[in-house]
Amino acid sequence: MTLLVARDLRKTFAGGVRAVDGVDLAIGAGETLGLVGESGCGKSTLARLVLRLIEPDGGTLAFRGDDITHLPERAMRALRRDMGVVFQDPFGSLNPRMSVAQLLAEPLVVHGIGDGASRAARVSALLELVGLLPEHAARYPHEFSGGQRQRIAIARALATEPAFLVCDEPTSALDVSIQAQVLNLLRELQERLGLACLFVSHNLAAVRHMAPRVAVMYLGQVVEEAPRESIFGAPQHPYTQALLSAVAEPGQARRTRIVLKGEVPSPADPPSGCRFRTRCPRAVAHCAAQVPALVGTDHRVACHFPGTLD
Amino acid sequence: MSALLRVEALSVAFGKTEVLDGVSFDIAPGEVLGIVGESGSGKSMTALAMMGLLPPGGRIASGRIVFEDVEVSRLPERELAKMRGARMAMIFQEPMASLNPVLTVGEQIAEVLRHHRGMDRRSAHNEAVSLLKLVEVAAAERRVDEYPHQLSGGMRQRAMIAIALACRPRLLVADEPTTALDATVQAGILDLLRGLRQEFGMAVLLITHDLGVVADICERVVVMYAGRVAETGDAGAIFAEPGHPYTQALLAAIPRLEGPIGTLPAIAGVVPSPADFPPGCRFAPRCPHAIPACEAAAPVLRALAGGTQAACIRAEHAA
Amino acid sequence: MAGKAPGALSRLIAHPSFRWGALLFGIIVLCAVFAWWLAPHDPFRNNFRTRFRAPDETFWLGTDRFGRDILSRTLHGAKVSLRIGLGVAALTALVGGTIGALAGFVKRLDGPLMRFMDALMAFPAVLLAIALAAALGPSEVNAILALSIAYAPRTARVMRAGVMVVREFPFVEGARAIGASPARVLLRHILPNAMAPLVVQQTYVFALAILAEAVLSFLGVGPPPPTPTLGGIIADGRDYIQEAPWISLVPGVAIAMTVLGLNLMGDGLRDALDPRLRTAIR
Repeated sequence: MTLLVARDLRKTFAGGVRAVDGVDLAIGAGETLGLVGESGCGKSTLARLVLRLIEPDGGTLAFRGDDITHLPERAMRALRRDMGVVFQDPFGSLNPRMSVAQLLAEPLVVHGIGDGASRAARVSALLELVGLLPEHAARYPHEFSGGQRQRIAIARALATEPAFLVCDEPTSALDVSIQAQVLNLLRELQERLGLACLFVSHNLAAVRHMAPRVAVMYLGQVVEEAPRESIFGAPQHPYTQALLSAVAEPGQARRTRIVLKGEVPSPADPPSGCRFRTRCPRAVAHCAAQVPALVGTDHRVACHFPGTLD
Repeated sequence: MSALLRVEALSVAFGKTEVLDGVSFDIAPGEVLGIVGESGSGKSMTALAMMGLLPPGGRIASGRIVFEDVEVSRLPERELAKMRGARMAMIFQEPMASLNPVLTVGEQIAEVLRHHRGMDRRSAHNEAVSLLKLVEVAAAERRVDEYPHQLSGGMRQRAMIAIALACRPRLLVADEPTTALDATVQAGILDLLRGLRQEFGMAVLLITHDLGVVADICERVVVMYAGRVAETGDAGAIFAEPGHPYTQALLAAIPRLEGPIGTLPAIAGVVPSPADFPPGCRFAPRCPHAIPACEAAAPVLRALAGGTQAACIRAEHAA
Repeated sequence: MAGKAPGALSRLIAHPSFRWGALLFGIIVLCAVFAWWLAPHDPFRNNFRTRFRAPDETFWLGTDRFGRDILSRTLHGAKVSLRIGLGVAALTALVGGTIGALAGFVKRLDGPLMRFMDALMAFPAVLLAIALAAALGPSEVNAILALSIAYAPRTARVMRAGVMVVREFPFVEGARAIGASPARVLLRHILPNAMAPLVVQQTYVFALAILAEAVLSFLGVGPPPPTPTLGGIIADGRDYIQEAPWISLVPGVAIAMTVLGLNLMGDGLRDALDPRLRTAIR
C-alpha cells in the first residue's frame, strides 16, 4: 500500500513566492524517497507540507489511504504519532531546557503512551537504538556534540514508532567523519524498523546512499524522478545533469562541468513554459511556450528534449 | 623559489588551552594550497593568526609567520593593518556578514581603492566596475550600484572577491568560500579563483572542510586534525595514496556518486575539543591502527613512500 | 539560543556590575526588612521638642517638622517603597507577561492586545499612574495597581518580542511535529526559553516603580500619611529645603541607591543572559 500520496501540492508564501508549485509524490510503506535540489527549490517547504507543519494552498495529501489535506488540527496532532521528523540543525532542534530523558519521553507523554516506568524503559531503549548510553538520559543537549545531538533528534523522532520519517538535511551541519556515522545509523534504522522515509538533501552523494528512488526539484517543481541507478547513471533532465556535473569529489577525475547560464529566477515570477529554460543549454523557443509535463512510468522527466549526455 | 608565506611551528593558545600546536607549512608565489580539516581542527584559527585577526583572548604562544620576508607575527597592529587588504586579503564563508548592508557594492570596492591605492572617487568607481567584470558579475555597470541584499549568494561572494582583489594582493586567504553556496554556484566560484590565480599569479590559501573542493582546485594540501598538521603533500599524492590513517578514514567516509552503496566506513567517536585533546597522537583514540606507543608522544611529520608527509608512527601498517 | 547555558549563573556572579548592584540592593533590602530592629527611633512618634534637629549623635540623620527621626522614617519608608516596587514587578510580570506571551504566540490576538498596550503606552507612564492613583484613592494597594497598569505595556512588549524570537526556533517546529498541543508548545517549549529578557526587564520595572511611587507619594496620591514612603518623606521636606535639607536629601539618596543597585543588577543579568553576547564569547 502506498503510505503517503501527494497530488499537485502547492504552497505560495507572502510576496507571491511559489515555493512548491504542483508536486506529486508517492512513498510506499518501508520505501525511501530522496529529494534533492539547490537552495530555494522548495524541498524543505515540501518536507513540511507532507507533514502538514505548514498548510498547503492547493492539492491533496493522503496518508495510509485517508485524505488528510484538511484533517482538523486535533486529529492531525493524533496522527503525528505515526510521523517523525529530523531537522538539519542539531543545535537548534532540541529544546535546551529539557533533559534527554524529557526530550525522548515527550512524544510518549503527548500521545498518552505508557506510564512513567514504561516511558523510562522506552527512553533507555531509544538511547541504545541510536548508539547512546543510558546515562546520557539525565544530560542536557548542550552537553553533546553535533553528531550526538542528531542521534538524540533521531531517537525522539522514533519514540512513538512512526511508520514515516522525514529527514530534512539531517547531516548537512555535521563534520564529514560524523556525517557517515549518522547516515549509517539512519540506513540501519530504516531497514530494521521498516520505516518509510523522505530524505531531503542538497548532497547528491548522500541521497544516493540513502534512497533507492530520487526526485530532483527545481523552482518548486519536480523535474525528474527515477530509481537511483537511472538518476545517477542515466539522468535525462539537463538540470539533473548539470547538478551531477558540479559535484566535486576527491580522487575522481574532474567531470566535464556543465556550466549553467545566469542565476536561479525568482520563485515569485518563474519563467513561462519550462522553468529551467532560461538556464538550459537545450532550450528552444518551444520551451517558453509550453510547460513540460512530468511523464514516464518508472523514470519520469519533465523536459521537452529529454536525453542522456554522451 | 623562496616561499611567499612561511608558517613555522605556530602555536596559538586561549589562556591555557592550546588550539594550534606546532603548525608549519609554506606557500609559494602563485600556488594554491588547501588546508582541510573538520571543526576544531584549527584551520580557521591558522588563517586568523596569519591575518593578525585572532579573536580576543587568543595569542601566538610560539612560532613565526613570515610573509614576503617580514615576520608578520611581530608586526605592530598598524603595520599589519596596512599589509592586510593590500598584500594579503581574506574572504569568508558568509559574504553577507562581511559586506556592509547600507553601502552599495561599488562603494565598498571603491572605499578599498581610495584607502589603499589613493584613487579619486571617479576612477575608483570605474575600477570597481572593471573589478566586478573581472570576477564575472553579469551586468557589472548595473550591479555596482546595488546593495548586498539585492545580490544572490554567489554574486555576493564574487563581490567579496572583487573587494579582496582591489589591491592586487599577493595572497588570497579564502575561508570556506563556497560552503554556503549551492554546488552549481560553488563550481563557478572555484573556476573563477582558478582563473584569477593564473591571470595574476596570486597565491591562494583555501581553507575548507570539503575534500571535494580541495581536490578540485588545490595543488598542495595540509590536512589538519585537532590543532596539528596530520598530513601534507601534493594533492594528487594525498588523494591517491593517503598515508595518515585520518586522511584515509576521511576519504573513505565520504559518500560517493559512484561505486558500491552500503554502510559507509565511518570514523568512530567524536572530534575532540581543544579543552580535552588526548595525549600523544590526537587521532589515536579514534584510530583503528593505534598502538600504545601512539599515546606516548606526539608524532612528527615524516616523508612516506606514497609521496606525502604524515605525522603517524604507524603509517606503514595503515597502508 | 535563549536557553540557560552552562555557567550562566557563574558568569552572573563574576559580572562586576551585577556583584556591586546585588551588594547595594541586598544591603537596602536587609535594612528595609529589619527596619523595626534597625531603626533607632519610632518613625511615627511626634516630638515637638526635637523638631528640625540637624544630624547629631541622637538623631544621626536629623529630624523633620514633627520631630520624627529621618533615619528611622527612611528605613521604614524604604520598606514600603520596596514592597510597592516588588508588587509592581510581580504584577506586571504576571499580567504584562501573559498578554505579551499570548500576543506573541496567537497571531489572532496580537493586533487587538498590542493595540491596547500601545494605547496605554501613548500616555507617559508616570502621568498615567498619577491619574489612576488619584482616581483609585491613596493607598498602598492602589499605588501598586496604578503603577502596574502604567508599566505592564512595557513588560508585555518585551515578552512578546521574546516569544516571537523563540517561536521561530527549530525545536518549536519539532514540538509541533511530535503532535504537541499549542498550549504545550507555548508553556513547555517557548516560555522557558523566553524568560531571560523578561527577568532583565522586571529589574528595570522594579526600579522605575520605586521612582514613580516616590512621585505619587510626593504628590500625595501614594500611601496616605503617616505611612512613611521615600517619596512622602521628600515631600515632607519640600518646604524646608533651605533650612533642613537633610529631610529630603536622605530619602532621595536612598531612592538613588536602590535604583542604582537594581539597574546594575539588570545590566549584569542582561549581559549574562544575552544570547548574542553569549555566542560571541563562546
